[in-house]
Amino acid sequence: MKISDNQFEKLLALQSAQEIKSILALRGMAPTLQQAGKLRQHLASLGTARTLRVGIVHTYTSELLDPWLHFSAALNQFDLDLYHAPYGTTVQEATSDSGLSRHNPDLTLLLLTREDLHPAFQVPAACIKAEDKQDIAEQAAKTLLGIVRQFRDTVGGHIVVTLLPEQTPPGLGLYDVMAEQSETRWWHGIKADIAIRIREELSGVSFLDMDQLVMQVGRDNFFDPRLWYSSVFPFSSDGALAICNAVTSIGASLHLTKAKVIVVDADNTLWGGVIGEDGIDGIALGPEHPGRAFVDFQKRLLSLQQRGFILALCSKNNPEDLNEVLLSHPHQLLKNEHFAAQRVNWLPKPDNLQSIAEELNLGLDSFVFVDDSDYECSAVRHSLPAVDVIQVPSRPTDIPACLDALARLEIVSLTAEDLEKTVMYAQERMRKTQREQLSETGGSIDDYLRSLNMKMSVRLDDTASVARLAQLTQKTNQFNLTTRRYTEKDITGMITSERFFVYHFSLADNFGSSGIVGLAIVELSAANKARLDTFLMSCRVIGRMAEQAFLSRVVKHLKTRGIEQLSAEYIPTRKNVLVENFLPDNGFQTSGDGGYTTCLGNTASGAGAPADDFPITIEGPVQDEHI
Amino acid sequence: MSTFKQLQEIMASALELPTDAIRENSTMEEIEEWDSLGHVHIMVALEQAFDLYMDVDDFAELDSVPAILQYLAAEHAA
Repeated sequence: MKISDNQFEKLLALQSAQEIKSILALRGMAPTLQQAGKLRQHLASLGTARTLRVGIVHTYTSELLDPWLHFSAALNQFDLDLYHAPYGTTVQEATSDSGLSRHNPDLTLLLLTREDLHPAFQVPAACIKAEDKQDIAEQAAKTLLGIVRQFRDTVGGHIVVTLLPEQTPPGLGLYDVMAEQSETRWWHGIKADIAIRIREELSGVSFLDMDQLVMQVGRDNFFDPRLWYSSVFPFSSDGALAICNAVTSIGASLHLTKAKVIVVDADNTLWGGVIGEDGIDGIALGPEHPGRAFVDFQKRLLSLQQRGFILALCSKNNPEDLNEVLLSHPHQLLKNEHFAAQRVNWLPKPDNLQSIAEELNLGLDSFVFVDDSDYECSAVRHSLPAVDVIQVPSRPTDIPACLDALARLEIVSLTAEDLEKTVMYAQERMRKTQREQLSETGGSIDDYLRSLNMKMSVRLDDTASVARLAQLTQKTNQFNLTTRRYTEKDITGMITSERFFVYHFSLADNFGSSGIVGLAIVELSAANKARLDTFLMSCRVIGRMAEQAFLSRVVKHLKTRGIEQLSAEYIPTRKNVLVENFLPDNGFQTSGDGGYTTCLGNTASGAGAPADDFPITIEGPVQDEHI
Repeated sequence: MSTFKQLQEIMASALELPTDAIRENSTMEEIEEWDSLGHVHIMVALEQAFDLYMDVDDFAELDSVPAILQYLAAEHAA
């Protein structure tokens, strides 16, 4: 959509880059080249977060992207420092003394074409013999991976790989999708293979799918054949801006504070209307307009949760009214378990956001706040400038897409842990509710822990979990006695060695499973003596007596191996004061040299206490065949 | 705003120059920043500002402020 002179004047009057960015993103506004230049100057005058150094390696004209790249960078508060490699050079730039290397880029953008990968792409796909296709695809992928690997080996920073899409509809036209020799299907297969291999084989490399951008803008509007034939520049202004926005989004997700939490309002955000006034049958949510738009927006929020963002709810309402919708509205998609934290009360929203930040132990600069109200949005903008505020559009039909263009909600990778994280917070909240309910009826902490039905699974020398165990030594700072960092190779070495026992545990309860969260490494130092080299636990299971249960099971196993004395140490760091007294609290005595020892025969002390003292059912490794 | 004033602002923005660097008789030859890339930026900005769809074969001939003004006058008359 064009920006009128009137709208443009209003944009230039705004003093918050975030507000300008969210207005442009929300309304899908496309500035002209001249407007982009003026906005860029205005944004720069509001201050920049940091310099983003970008290097572009290209086999078609790239310099015409510059004004759009500068504009898009300024929108995300980057000051852009740009380098273009000489036209048509590719791997020549992948050396340690190339112009690109000397530019020291945060981000290297590779603008390549399919013809760069294999000469077969010069003719229509339908002309290629079926039996040659697999070979060509394999060679094309190999060539591209080879090029990218050379850059990965010589240039620092992140690398973004693109392949220029076909500028015309498929050679076989409308029939293409059904054809045996379909060009689209063949291309998508090659592209998917390349993208997966980049993910699996290279680190710090993103494949940016330009086909997605073409779909977003539309092929007829994405390309400009006049510039292509006269200047070897394929893109229209709309196309160029879409590419630059995608590239800066990747830059933003790498170099700006990561967004982690999306806090949403309820009335006129998750549904149309006000639940306290309209009632559960009166709010707009369901298959009929405008309810459908709100259902779709909830779907988008669920997708964002699948990207690894945590959802939280903050609404001025009576909790019972709101809970009724979450529990029993037939079209409500977001339920209690999707929200890591909820604040349904009449307190000021900035206060609620602050208390959510404390509950989740996350900084407010990782928050995105989504609300329809002018008042709430400006209150949060004013009191908590670190929070990204997105005002929900007033027209319901504009709502489902209102978070789509937000650079900070793009991700460059997705691990199992990212997904686990949101589930974990929700489970933790349900545990907390259960604890509070029990405590209201006079139950003790022990009653609560027993009500969880915890099951601990202890494993010994498990070669299948090496990656996770190494990650635990790398990432665990608080509950860690010695903070020794180990690589996967180190861990494998200890698992296969006769001299070491490597134990880990995972914990499950009524609300879910934690995955592997604890690690103990024991070195056998003499016939009947052993040394506790590492003892650590992820913070996510703190406060459930898992550490004592784990230690007791480790000790039980050591006893079956004839160990009579276990020595241990606490190495203080800035972050592990939490475990300062863990050893003395669990039956270890100081041994004079600053270390600790415990005699395993002494069952009265904590380190030797029998496992049935814990509100946890433990299995392994003593019952295992290892013994 | 006169067409020249508008053009002056568009060109200055496209070439990242101060407005007064563009005069009524400026030519591509005498302004260093007005190179072939700068020229494409000017053409794109002109199209967007005056709502035109220009023929790429006309680009080369529009190599001075008088030539562009003349072209715009003809387009407006048409």
